[in-house]
Amino acid sequence: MARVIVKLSGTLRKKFEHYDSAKGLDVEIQDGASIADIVAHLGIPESKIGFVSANGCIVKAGSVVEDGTVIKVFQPIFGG
Amino acid sequence: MKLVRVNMTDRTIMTEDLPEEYKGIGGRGLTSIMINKDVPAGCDPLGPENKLIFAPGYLSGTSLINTSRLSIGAKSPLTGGIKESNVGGTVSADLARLGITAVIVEGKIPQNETCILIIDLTGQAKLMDAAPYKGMRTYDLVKKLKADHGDKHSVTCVGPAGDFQFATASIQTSDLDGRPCRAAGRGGLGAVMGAKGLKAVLVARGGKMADTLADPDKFKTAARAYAKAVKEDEFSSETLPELGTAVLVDPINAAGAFPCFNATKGQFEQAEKINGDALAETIKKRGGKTTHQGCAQCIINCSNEYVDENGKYVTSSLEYETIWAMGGMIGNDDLDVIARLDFLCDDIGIDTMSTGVAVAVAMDAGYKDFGDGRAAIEMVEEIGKGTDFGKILGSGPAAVGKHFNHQRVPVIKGQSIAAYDPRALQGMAVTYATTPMGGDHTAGWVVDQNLADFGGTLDPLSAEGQVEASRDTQLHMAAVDSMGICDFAQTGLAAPGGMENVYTMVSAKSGEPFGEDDWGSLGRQVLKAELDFNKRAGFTAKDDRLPKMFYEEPLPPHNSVVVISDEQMDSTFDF
Repeated sequence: MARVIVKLSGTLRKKFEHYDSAKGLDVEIQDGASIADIVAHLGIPESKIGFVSANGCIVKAGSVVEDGTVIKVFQPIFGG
Repeated sequence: MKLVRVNMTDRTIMTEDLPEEYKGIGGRGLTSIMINKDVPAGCDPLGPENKLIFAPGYLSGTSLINTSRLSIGAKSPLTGGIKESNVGGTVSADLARLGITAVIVEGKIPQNETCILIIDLTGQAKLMDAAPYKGMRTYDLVKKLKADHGDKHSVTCVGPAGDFQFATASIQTSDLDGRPCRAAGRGGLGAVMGAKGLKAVLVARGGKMADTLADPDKFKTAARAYAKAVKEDEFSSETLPELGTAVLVDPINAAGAFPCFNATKGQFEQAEKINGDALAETIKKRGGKTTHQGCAQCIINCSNEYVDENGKYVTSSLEYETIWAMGGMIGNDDLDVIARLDFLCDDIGIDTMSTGVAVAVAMDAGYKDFGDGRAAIEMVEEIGKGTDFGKILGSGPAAVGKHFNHQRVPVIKGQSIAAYDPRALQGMAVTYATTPMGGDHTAGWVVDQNLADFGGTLDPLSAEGQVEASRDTQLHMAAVDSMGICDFAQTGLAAPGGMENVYTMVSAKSGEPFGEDDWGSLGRQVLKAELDFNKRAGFTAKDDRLPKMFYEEPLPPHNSVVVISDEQMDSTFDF
């Protein structure tokens, strides 16, 4: 098993009662799990995700996650 | 549908019916097409031949939500090219409800004289001497104007930076609370207004002479559907009201595209001190306001009221671009300093982005240390006082670079980049380089396409697809900016059927058919006018390039440089 920290942006965190934005979520997953596996495990629909970073770099849904990674999940953004 | 033509040279005002050629066009479309036709491209931007045009978007003043963008256009003293800068507040709706399609300010007042323009509820305009107001900062100015002329007006004005005709002077306009905190910041249009001798424009609120709609029922149905889509989108209905546009700090920083320390780094280690969460928590703890309505007919409420530790007002509508320019870009992680700098820029009437970058260039050149908030505040105060150094700073980052003989100056066509480093978001390199506006993010914001669909439909570090994305977005935005639609209500456009709703409303207002092809034609017509003006003003393909630093200095954490070739840049507008 691998442990990762998942931090959620914007309104994504509302789904998790007592979410602590400084600490994020401590998640335990199977070795070899991908980013898509983790968000599915957390019950976050992919349509609500803009992009995901792992240890500060943008990663794709299929990227495999290693033990100790800090993952940030961002909502789709608009702006200008 | 009428034009109010104000000649500052002889102080005459003419009201004309809107010429046929401008029917169905508003906002940026109208300012850019009119400037290209009527302003000599080689003229002195601060001379009498330049025209300063205020035009509400085509849908401003209607019942459609979030259509309170006023386009202001002129030849820019900062870039030397055509400029449109748009701003929220209430003035766009106020003008449109008086049936005014544009106010065109021509000529130039004799030196040392100053006027204000007052437009009353009947749509009548008059110029009044305003010598006592000259040099006033904007917050005091709106108070004095309120005392002298009542509070039932929007106020659109310049501060001392505009009076001094500094090339990065903004035009400030009042929000729903009557504060001059909304800025048409870019391109130095405040200097044009100051040069003309126009200190402020007061427009009566609550007019009842808006253009009639050809089919009001059809309009209403489409407007309701559009509003429903904005309300149903989580970003515009929950995230923006709660965290403001500062919510962008985290994703852009995570993407390594948050330019810090004068764009030597793409990630700010202290970002969590200045992000959307930090801003909202600070404001709430102190009794300020998040979820604040700044603009007429807004249902998003992304604005805020920032207060100090004693709960006293500091500034309003503190936004992402300012948090970047006065935060990461100058290495400052203190929100109180950022808020103070935001207030000072609004009060002095100067662009927060150009000013933050100008301060960053000075710090990079060794004038002061990065992160020295007190020094940054003192520097910006010098702009307001018009000291020798203030003149240099108010003239923008390129002038600061020249003063210090410092080469690292992130400007394109003389105007600074915004809060997205082009090395980590290659599509923004295309937009910055090719938009006729100079370094500008709203002209073609392709961030979402690079940071969406779970990792991006485009690779933000690759050139592939970036020219096409920027071109399509620039064409689209030229049309959006002509409608007066707020960027943050674009969730309504992006929703299924969203564009069709807009086409329906345009058609229901004009009575003429309007569809996807017309939308594309409008965007092309506007951009072609802007490109034509710039070409005649002397711009060539060589001006559509970024500074060397973006091609030669790898940006951490990706250690990437701009990889868009000159040929690719030159293919952007091949229509």
